[in-house]
Amino acid sequence: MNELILKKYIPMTETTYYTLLALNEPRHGYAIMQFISELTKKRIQMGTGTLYTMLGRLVEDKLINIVSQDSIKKVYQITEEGQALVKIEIDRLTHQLENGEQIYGK
Amino acid sequence: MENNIMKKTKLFVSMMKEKIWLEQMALEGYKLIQMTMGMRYTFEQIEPTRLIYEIDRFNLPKNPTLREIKSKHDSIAMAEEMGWKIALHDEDLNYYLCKEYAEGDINELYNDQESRQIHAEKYRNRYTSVGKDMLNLIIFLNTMLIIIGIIEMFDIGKVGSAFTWLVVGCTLFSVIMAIAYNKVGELYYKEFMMTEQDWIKKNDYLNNNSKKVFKLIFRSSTLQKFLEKEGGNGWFPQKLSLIKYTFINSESGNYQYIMDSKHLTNKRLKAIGSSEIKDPKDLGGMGNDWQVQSVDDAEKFGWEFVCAVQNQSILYRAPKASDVEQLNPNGKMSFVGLLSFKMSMIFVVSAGAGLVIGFIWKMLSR
Repeated sequence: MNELILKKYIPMTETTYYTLLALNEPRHGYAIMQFISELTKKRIQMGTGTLYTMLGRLVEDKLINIVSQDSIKKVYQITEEGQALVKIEIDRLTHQLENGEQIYGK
Repeated sequence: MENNIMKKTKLFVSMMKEKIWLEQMALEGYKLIQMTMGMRYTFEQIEPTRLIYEIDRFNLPKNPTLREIKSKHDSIAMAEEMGWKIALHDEDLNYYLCKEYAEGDINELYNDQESRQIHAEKYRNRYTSVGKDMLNLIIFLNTMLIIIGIIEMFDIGKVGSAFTWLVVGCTLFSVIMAIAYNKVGELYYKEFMMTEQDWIKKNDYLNNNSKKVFKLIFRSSTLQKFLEKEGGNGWFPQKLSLIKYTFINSESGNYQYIMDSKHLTNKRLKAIGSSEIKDPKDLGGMGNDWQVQSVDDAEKFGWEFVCAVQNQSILYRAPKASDVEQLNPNGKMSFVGLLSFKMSMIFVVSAGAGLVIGFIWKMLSR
């Protein structure tokens, strides 16, 4: 994987992480927000400008791509590179959790 | 139909204040439908609703990519899906988006640091680029003046006429506008980097827990009386400068005030036989090591730190009734202490320049 992408995305912000999770299946903007909102029980919610900025950046870095596009709705899905990146982040988070539990117990 | 329309003229520099005003208007039952010249607002009467307004713009870089060309339509489409509506756009292509407030939902367009910064930078870039255009205009005008000046070199009288004054006037105007645009750009950057609530809290916009007093005070005793009187009414100094005093509201109390400076701190040190605080490399007098010493001394005597004017002086207070020991034998406050470093430099430099120009003038006219 590209060094620069790793440097930029690991560790990952929560909003990026959940956006990538949401795009494991093809979804459009509003569906992404609803999915994240439900999954995190409204803990993480994104403003539309925030989501738009993030999607643009992720497309630019080829972590997600646009799979279909009708008149206004664009549907996004994660790419293979994006999936690999999420897995690296999950490993990192697991390690982080383990370390925390070692010191403070479960 | 006509009765449902209300027009108002109001000029805002701050976008945050404008946004807050529009939201207050909605609570009173007026929804923005049109705006001209950036100051003529047209409202439509509605049921009082809590509306949220957001202002955004869609600048294009010099060589936009396909995505950037489409970005305005794409992001507006996405915003509409989330319940935002475009109320209008003004002559500078600022888009006013509007949405009904929904409890538990995100009521902002941008709600994380990264996107907020991009939004804020869009505004800063827009205004600094206008500022740059203004500076280009100056270069253009002055080049013209020089070229014409060369052609007419042998007949200065002709050049030094209306044309010269026109160029001088335009140059001054452009310089002022360039500075103003840069300032406005910085202002918007700061505003858009904060949420509305944070901004209101930081600037104490609606609460009136602070006030500003513009006053020029020369005498130490007048300043002392002024501060004491404000303290009696519950206003305590927060920031001081030569003409602007910012007070914050707190429980009223009777205090006496003193001011300390580098000079006085060194005097005290000398009196007890310690070495003075001096930094031979600090030519501009920007070091503030003395302030640490001063605060230490003052607290020992029972004085409480109130505020400081950059690295020029520190203001302390103590309850009036208590016979707290004076920090300095003739510890009077001085208005010079209220000058910030930048201000004093401007005074010194302009006075010096004036002196030199005056001297040369005198020599030449002899």
